[in-house]
Amino acid sequence: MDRLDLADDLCERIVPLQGELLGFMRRRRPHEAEELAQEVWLRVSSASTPSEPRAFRAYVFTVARRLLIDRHRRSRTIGSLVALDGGRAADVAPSNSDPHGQAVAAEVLAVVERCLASMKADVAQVFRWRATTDLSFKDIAVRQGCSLNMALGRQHQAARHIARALDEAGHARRKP
Amino acid sequence: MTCPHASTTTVAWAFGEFEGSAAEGEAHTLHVASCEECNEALEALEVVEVQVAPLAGALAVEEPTKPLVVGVPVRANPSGTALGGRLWAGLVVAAAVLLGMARRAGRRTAGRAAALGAGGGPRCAVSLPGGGSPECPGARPRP
Repeated sequence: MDRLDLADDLCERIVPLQGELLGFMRRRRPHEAEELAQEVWLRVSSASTPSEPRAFRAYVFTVARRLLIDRHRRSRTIGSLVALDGGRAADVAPSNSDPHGQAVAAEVLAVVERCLASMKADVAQVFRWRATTDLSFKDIAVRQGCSLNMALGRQHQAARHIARALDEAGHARRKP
Repeated sequence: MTCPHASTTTVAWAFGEFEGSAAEGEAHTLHVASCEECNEALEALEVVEVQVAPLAGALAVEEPTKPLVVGVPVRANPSGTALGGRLWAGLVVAAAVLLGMARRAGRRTAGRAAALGAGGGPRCAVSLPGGGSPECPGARPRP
């Protein structure tokens, strides 16, 4: 297959997933959905992807989820830096003119705090530090006096626990 | 959990802290896409990040502690002590002082014992008419 054929092949595989990916992004970051979807296709096209359609779809959404995590972390940092200028901060937290959004946010926060309170102190600490500071997992491992894998495992444990609780409370959008 | 990456490498990879090369990162993306457990781990991380990131400012903040003290190598001296011989010098001085005190105390005890053995001891200048001991005014002869 030459380069042109490869591009055609990729296009054929991308087209059926375009709508689904855009919907996935719109439900999560409505203001940037198109941009994020394009970024996913860019990353997919520059990588060696699986040829089997189901595996290709799984690959696309893996890239998409990772991109979302990255974008949320970045926007949190930017949001905290420019929270007063009326820019991206609007995307970060529900505004005062959105009472429903505020109620949902308060509910999510209560679920998360309840979950954290029920966890082991070390596990909750890793999650809080990751959520509220810029500490890397390496830094956290040093501060907790444990191995890097232990710190990563604690984050994993906390995330699973919170995701399950959010799911039960009807706040998680797990499936694409 | 049977995939060892689900709670370790995949978490680091999801947060951009994967320490491998670009090719290894790419290989891990393929792994996550095909591994059910890693996929679930990524989903959970994404759900939580999407829901919690906007509210991070409202989460109860726990100030990070300072890093634990890490052992610092100390330059060893020829005598092999970590305090440059000062510890040993201190111990020698302390031992000498203790020895001196013990000797002095020993000498005093020996002198007193010798004096008592010879019938000496502190004598009283006053002899009591009521039969008091000549050695001490308050002492009475034992029955």
